[in-house]
Amino acid sequence: MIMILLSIVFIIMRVLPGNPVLLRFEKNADPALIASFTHQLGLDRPLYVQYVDYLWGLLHGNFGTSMAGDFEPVGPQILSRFPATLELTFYAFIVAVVVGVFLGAFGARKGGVPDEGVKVFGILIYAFPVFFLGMILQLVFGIWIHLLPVSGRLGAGVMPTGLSIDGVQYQTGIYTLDSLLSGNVTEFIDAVRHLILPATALGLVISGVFVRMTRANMMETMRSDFVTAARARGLNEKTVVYSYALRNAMLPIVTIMGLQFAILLSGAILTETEFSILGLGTYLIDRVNFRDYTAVQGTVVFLALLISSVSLFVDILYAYLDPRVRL
Amino acid sequence: MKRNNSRQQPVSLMGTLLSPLVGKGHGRPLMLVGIGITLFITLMSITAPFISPHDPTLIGFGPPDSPPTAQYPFGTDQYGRDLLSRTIWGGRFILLVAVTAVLICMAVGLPIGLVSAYNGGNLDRTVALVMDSIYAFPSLVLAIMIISVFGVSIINESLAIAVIYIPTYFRVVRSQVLAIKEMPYVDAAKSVGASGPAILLKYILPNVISSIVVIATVNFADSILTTAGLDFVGLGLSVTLPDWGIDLTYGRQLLPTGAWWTIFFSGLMILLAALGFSLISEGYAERTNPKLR
Amino acid sequence: MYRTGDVTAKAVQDVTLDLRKGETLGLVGESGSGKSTLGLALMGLIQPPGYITSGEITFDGVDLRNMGRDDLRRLRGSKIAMIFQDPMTSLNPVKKIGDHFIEYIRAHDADASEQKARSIAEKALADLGIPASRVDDYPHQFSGGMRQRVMVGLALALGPSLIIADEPTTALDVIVEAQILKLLRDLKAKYSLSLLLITHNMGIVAEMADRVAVMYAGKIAEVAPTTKIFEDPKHPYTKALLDSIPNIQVEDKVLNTIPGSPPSLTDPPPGCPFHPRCPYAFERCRAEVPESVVTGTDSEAACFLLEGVVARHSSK
Repeated sequence: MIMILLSIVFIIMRVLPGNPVLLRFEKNADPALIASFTHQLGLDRPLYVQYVDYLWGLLHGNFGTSMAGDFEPVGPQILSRFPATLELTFYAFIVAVVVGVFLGAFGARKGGVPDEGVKVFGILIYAFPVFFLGMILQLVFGIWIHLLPVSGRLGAGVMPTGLSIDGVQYQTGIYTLDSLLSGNVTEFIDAVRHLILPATALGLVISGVFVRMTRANMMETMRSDFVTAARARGLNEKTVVYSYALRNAMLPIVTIMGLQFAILLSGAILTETEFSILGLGTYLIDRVNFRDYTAVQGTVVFLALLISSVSLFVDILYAYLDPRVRL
Repeated sequence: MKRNNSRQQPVSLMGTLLSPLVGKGHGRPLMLVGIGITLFITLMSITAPFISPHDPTLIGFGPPDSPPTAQYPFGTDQYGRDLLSRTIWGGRFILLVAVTAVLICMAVGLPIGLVSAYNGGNLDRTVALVMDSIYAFPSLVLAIMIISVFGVSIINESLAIAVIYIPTYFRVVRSQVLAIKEMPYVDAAKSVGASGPAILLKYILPNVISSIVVIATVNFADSILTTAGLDFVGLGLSVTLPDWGIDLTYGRQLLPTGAWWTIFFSGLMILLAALGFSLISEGYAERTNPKLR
Repeated sequence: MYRTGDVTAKAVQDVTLDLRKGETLGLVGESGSGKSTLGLALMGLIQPPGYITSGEITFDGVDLRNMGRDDLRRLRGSKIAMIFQDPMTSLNPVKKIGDHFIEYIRAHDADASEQKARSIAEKALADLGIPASRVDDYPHQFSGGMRQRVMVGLALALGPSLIIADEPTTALDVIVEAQILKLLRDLKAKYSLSLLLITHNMGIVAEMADRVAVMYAGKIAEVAPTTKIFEDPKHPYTKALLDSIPNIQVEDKVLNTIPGSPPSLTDPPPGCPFHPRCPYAFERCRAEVPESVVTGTDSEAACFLLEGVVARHSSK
């Protein structure tokens, strides 16, 4: 399936438009310039050669060469911007799951009016454009009430640090992690403060799906025999709800987490733009605006590989959680 | 003749489609509210040229950065454009793209799903694999990719979005067809010589219709959000024409000064449009699927 | 009563039953007769949208309806235990069998160490004929019969005095059914238990029960000792039930069935619930609900036909 994804990307970015270099330049650009560009990027070779080269390059971590003036490799650029996206997505995911599952379970258990409220909330929040929600949060918590920062990842004057080994600094690029590793509390707090609004905006929107699924699954699970049997054994309600009902209701939800990750990434692009976070999302948009097609291709491929890995991980996680699948 | 489970007997198309609209019970209020909102927005967009108080593109029309007043109920943006007019006009592109996308999706996804699943075999499995791959891909990224290469136009945006959602139609239709395909009454029909297409149309399609409605409405909602998103990052149609997504980009620049009206109304409209369709979808699903009660 | 939407279904109405210590009472009825609801109600397990409107549930001299939630919870499993119908779905699929026991034991005795709980679990499994090594296996690794035995083991682990078995063998094949029934009989004798056996299978009742109570449409139709009910059923419904059991020895060409179908619980007909299908129905049956009439030692039935009989008896 990864192969299909990679091929699709290749087809859209290389095959269909013909020579992307043409798209990059204006119509009356110097033909010699175009020719040299094309040659530099290896785009004048036959398509199947390019295809093989593309796949081969990926195996070695080569994500292409940028079409912007210097022909720099795209890979390192992606890697420098990736941590920001990863960090944002991670925290947003946590928000989404925590809010989603607890609200869903709450609604399923209470029933009646609170349940309807939870249901409507789920629909409403998912229909929210994430950038709009981000703006509202920025407005309320950043501008009207000067509580949280509205853009960027670190305040002015705060430098990212990393783990020091033998005097050399190793940074992952994930500021919350790095600052913990280096013990820099100021940086940590600053990074967290910058993350609160974007992660909440993105997380809340995604939670909509989790709310609805958890609620539906819980309602069904609560009615199942083993839950009644557990109650009949005199187990206390808390155990019954969490250990029996919720634990089983969550299983199908894990299976869709891979999909949710893809949706998270889409949302992350918008969130990064809104909060001026320099991540892969903004990089992608940036490269599109510069008509740097090879970079766009490289980024999309990277994302495809990322999603495939996450899906694989989720499958393994599910096998761990559901004993019926293991054996 | 044996009496089958009535849900799976051949039934009239329109009957199945519209029956959830009548009768009491759950989900109906949701659906009706959704229909109400959707109608309101559609009407507003269609009648925009007639009900918009001012020309939405006129720069310098009113005082710039003005909060809502009696004269300009939604305020003005930094170019002095009346935001009420811009809001009324702002949905047209988005809705147009959404409608086109959904139509393309149905026109392509439905037949492919029906035929592929019905015929089965290796071809079906291959197509399903391709569809699954696309399905797993982040929608916005795919759209950006397509638009970056092909440029921006109503058709391109619609196509980009359609490509994203066709796999969803395909999957749902396919799973239903695979289930119904094995039913005894399909065999019965075949034994009296009914041809493939006839079976598809008369037996399978009506049962698939209610799922299609749910997916189509969700599709609508998602298309609206994706198009608005594309507009927001600058990959939308035109920077001067009124559009909710673009207005958010403009309005954003004024945000640090606390000018809430520049973003509020456009954003609210996007939310309502998506919400309207989502409610219809949810309400309809609840009516036709008792398990969700 | 169960309420869904704006419609109320009376699952159980005006039922008075007593269960004696050490006896097996068979509760028989068709699907929808209210027998399962009764069983659940006894343990206070009726969940919304159902609720109990009135009545008393007296256990060991205490009215359960007046008990606090916590007390009731402690009672469940330790004094009264329940066995459910479908062993496939009665166990938590993500918990090991041993953990089912351990959790259960520790819920009732907070001081129990894991070791102690585990050894009780292993002993319980041994009692059931399951090797102790299987304590760490998951439910899906057991067969249906074994799972049901686990259910029985769980029910007995804390030494209750009453077991409510709701269709314990309906989901099992005949051979396993015989094993489970034997298991129940043996354990009942060994631990001096009382058993409420809920089923729709007259054969099981004949085999296991000391007394039988027949339910129809949420009401008790007849109660009598087992032999009496089979030899001399008094209520028309009981008679019809027994008639409908195919008898190998008699050459029946046609299966006797009870015409009609059970009444709607949301809109019950007036008078005796059985009258639309009763071959002996007369005017009074349509208008009034029959009260239960004593028909002998330990026996009673709710039918107007019997009032004449009793009158004749008592006038002697």
